[in-house]
Amino acid sequence: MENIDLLYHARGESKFIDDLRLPSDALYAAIFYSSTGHGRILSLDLRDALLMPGVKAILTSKDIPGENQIGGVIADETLLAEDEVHYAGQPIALVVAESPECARKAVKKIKVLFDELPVVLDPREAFRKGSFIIPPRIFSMGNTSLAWDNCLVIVEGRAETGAQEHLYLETQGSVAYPTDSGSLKVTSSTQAPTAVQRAVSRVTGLPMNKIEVEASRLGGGFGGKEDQANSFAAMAALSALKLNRPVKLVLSRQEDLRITGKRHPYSSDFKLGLDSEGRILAYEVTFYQNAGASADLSPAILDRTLFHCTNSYFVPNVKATAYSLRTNLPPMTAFRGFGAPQGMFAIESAIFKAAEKMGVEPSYLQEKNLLKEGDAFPYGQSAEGCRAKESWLAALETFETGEIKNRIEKFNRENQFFKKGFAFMPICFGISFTNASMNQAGALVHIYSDGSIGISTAAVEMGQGVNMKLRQIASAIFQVSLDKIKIEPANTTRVANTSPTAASAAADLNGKALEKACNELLERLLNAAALKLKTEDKPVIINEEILLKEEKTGLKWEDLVKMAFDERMDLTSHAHHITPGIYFDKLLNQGRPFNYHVYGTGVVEVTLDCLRGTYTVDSLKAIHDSGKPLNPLIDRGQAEGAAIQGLGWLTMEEIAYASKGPLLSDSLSAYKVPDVYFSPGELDIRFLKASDNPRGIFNSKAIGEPPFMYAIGVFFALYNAIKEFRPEVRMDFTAPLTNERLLLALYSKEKNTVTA
Amino acid sequence: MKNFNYIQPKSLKEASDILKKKPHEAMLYAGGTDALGLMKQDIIKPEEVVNLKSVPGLNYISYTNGKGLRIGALTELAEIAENPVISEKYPILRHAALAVASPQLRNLGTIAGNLCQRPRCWYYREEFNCLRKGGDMCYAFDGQNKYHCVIGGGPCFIVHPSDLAVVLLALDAKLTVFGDRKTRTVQLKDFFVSPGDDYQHENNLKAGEIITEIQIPELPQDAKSAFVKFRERGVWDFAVVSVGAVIRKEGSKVISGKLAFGGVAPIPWMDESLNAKLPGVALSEEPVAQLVSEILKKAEPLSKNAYKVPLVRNLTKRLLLEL
Ligand SMILES: Cc1cc2nc3c(=O)[nH]c(=O)nc-3n(C[C@H](O)[C@H](O)[C@H](O)COP(=O)(O)OP(=O)(O)OC[C@H]3O[C@@H](n4cnc5c(N)ncnc54)[C@H](O)[C@@H]3O)c2cc1C
Ligand code: SF4
Repeated sequence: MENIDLLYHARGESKFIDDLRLPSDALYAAIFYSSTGHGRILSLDLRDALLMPGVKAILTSKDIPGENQIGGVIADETLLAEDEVHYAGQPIALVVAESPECARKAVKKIKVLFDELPVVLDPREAFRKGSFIIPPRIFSMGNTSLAWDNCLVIVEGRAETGAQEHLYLETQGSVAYPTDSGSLKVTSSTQAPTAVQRAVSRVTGLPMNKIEVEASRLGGGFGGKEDQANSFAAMAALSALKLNRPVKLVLSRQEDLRITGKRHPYSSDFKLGLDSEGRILAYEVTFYQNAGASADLSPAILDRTLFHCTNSYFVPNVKATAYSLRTNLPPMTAFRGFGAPQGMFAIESAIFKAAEKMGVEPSYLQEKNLLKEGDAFPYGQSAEGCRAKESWLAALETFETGEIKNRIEKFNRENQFFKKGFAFMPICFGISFTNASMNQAGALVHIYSDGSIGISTAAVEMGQGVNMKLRQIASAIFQVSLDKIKIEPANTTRVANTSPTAASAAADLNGKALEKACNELLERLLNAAALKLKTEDKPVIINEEILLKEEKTGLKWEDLVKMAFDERMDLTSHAHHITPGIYFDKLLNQGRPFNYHVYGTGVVEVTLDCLRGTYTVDSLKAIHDSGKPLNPLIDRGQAEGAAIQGLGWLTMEEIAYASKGPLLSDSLSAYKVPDVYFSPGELDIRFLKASDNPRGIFNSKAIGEPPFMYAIGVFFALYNAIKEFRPEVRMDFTAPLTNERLLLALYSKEKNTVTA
Repeated sequence: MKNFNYIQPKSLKEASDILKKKPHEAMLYAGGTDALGLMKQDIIKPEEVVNLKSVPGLNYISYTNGKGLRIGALTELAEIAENPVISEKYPILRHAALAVASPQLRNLGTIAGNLCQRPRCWYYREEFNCLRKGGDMCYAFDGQNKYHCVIGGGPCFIVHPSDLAVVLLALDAKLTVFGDRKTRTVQLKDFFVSPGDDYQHENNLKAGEIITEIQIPELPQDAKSAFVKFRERGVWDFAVVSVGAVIRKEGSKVISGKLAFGGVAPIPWMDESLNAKLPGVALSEEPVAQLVSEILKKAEPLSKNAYKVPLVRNLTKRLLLEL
């Protein structure tokens, strides 16, 4: 079923923040931000900027009527810097002017003097200095120290993964309008309207009921607008309140790249022990998370790294330690996968290294250790409805991996400078917010007297197709056509106290709430129909016709609604849903944090040009367990997009910071993301057959994040190809595996270790 | 961006005089694809922008049998890529023009502008007051230098970004330059300057000088040529390194030839002593491997760009073997 939204996107008719037509008295804000990674502000000279014609005001932290604080999890982040700056890109002042051009020109006239302080960019250095965001987190199961003695093979090493830019097409932005009685309406490109409402309330000092937040649609979010939209909305709101005029703030691409946080870089140490048959007995891992200058969502992300540190394997003895470390980079934030990819990369590296040492293929160890039904995760939950092995076997069979291997071996024998590599990548990803209280949602459904339907939930449409899924749910329940159903923008005055559209869970949570609300209305309508038809039996609706005992009654949907209205029935319903049965004890680190898990197995094939260090991803295929997909077309799009985004993270997307903190790769000519030429020749993601999921909406499973992790296979496929060319090489596990790292691996003089 | 006067000169003389009078305040503007970016980023802040396109007669491609090719300074890269004579006689030039940026940029960008474009060093393009911008240090030397030069650097370590320059160098091109009411001719290989001599300019144009024409000598009938550009993204990307080769051979042996390299040095790089070794080399695995091991012998890579050395050698090897 096609996603109708796409038509409007393709025709350029969908409206994003920067497309909103503003009243003629609207003003425009631009941000003056720090150019250094760490420093004390000695002086801030606004005089020249204020003199510019068109400049209405320049706001600093002193102008904030409420609290100068936007830290959601931990109160450690100012909206506008006070005495010190902690990263390059940190907002210091806001220029409000008659046009965006004028505001930006004035920004350039602001002069600031810093007393430069030492800059720390590396999480291990921050660790040595004791700069922790939160106390260390440790997940453990069994006893690793006792287990090492039973291991035949023990490998140790280090895994590094880099930052990643979200690169949503629509940059961060917000418009704030002063409304009656000292209230504000804020439209924001946010995944989390309630979080914006809270942040604006905190900064302006207004109670939440005086702040209406709306998010009609986003040009992409990927996690980058889960927490970080708050500050830009708060800036627009602060300006609107101060000047009593509508104010728009939309970042340029360069500003967005410089100011906002990215996926957390991680540096990790692993130690893996196996018995003679390749069964994993023990795994110890230490994660150093580079959190940037403030907490943002880092603690929650750190937890998800721990939750997924054993990926889809059963490991009886685990000790996983994680540190969230404060550095002088922009606050790192949520990004598709939410810390899980970094955790999974570490164990996959460890398995690869163990396979190298044992002289077996990594896939042998991967398969041997896959989770089975009832196996325990290191956090107290056990695998239910486990489809790890099922998807693995389906991948072997569907993609004829045996054939692929033969073909690759032949190719590698016949070619000297081109080598192929191949890797499997199983995944396991838990669905639910790891913070249990966030697993709630509301839905408000109006049936209008003409039979058309309006739906409000907390879900924000950002290209992932959630609106389409919601319409499908309502359409299936009421048995009315899709064009009778409209999804309203997420708005805090219609559905309040919402959770962000994140954690892949929006369709699940909001869909369930919607299901409840629709069923309630349906019940009312059918009772009315029974009354009208004077029957004790329950009528049903099929295709907008009311049927009784499988016979048409002549009553249509519209008639029924009209009748119910005339009978003065309430045609509005609100419902609230919470995920049942989830809990987590943060002291013991035990519980049942996830509603269910998503499984799957990816296979990746690459061809490496050993002369140039370039490669093509020939294919990325996967058997993905999506339950019974609610909308297979949308889900495939999500899976393919996620996989390509993952490929970028592991291969070409490299973020470079100057030693004092400023971002160097702050344009798309320096920060390279996969384009259509780079995408896999064959991208074949199929859904595991005969799967279901009673815990999900209509038996479906969440789709947004899990397929991202299939791309991790590309790193190991490339590594295999390198070894075909240069068997003695022992590389570091450092991603992204850029061309220059590859070339160094292929040609560096030191034979055995290559540090890229 | 600073406000500026937009000047539409009607002749080279008029344009040159303005540029000469205000060497620091006036800037020549051709397609603007680089100039506009520099202005927007406030890297240059001209008061007068002199539009060369208002001067007639600088956009042409003309070929004379036996004499060679002449290309007007304002000829757009797209025209070079599409010109049938160039495709037939100088396919390497077409290849290089097609390898530049994107169709949109090739439609606007001119050949002279391409030779005079400023470096892409990210410190230079960002708000770092580095040596080349009049500051007192090179940030790349100790910093992020994976795209920087491996030879000929110091005190600045840029690479020259032009793709056209590499093939024009291998083709032995000359430039006609107008200035001070007269014209001069300069060999392309003498046009670029190393930072050791002047770290604020990439070429030896003097105030008021304007390139008017690029001349490329006739190639011998049997000359073979090729250009290879290595970039990290399939399109719309500058060269990490590139190699241009123009070779004459008899059987499988080279009689004479020139190799030029991009992305390795602050200037488009040609090593005369390397080219002197070309004659007599048989184009087969062993001798070519021997030859390419001589490339960038004196390279002194920075902390993050040692990969460029094997890369250039491998590219050249493949290029020669496929000629
Ligand atoms: C995104 C992007 C990608 C690019 N990728 C590549 C690439 O892959 N390979 C590559 O080679 N280039 C690349 N370029 C550079 C591009 O080719 C040049 O910007 C273009 O060729 C310059 O031509 P122009 O006419 O627009 O010059 P302008 O921008 O108008 O001028 C550039 C400079 O040359 C000077 N100048 C112009 N004409 C003359 C003249 N006749 N005499 C003396 N000085 C003159 C100007 O004063 C100015 O300093 C890229 C540029 C961009 C923006
Ligand atoms: S390489 Fe040159 S342009 Fe780049 S920072 Fe150093 S001096 Fe500046």
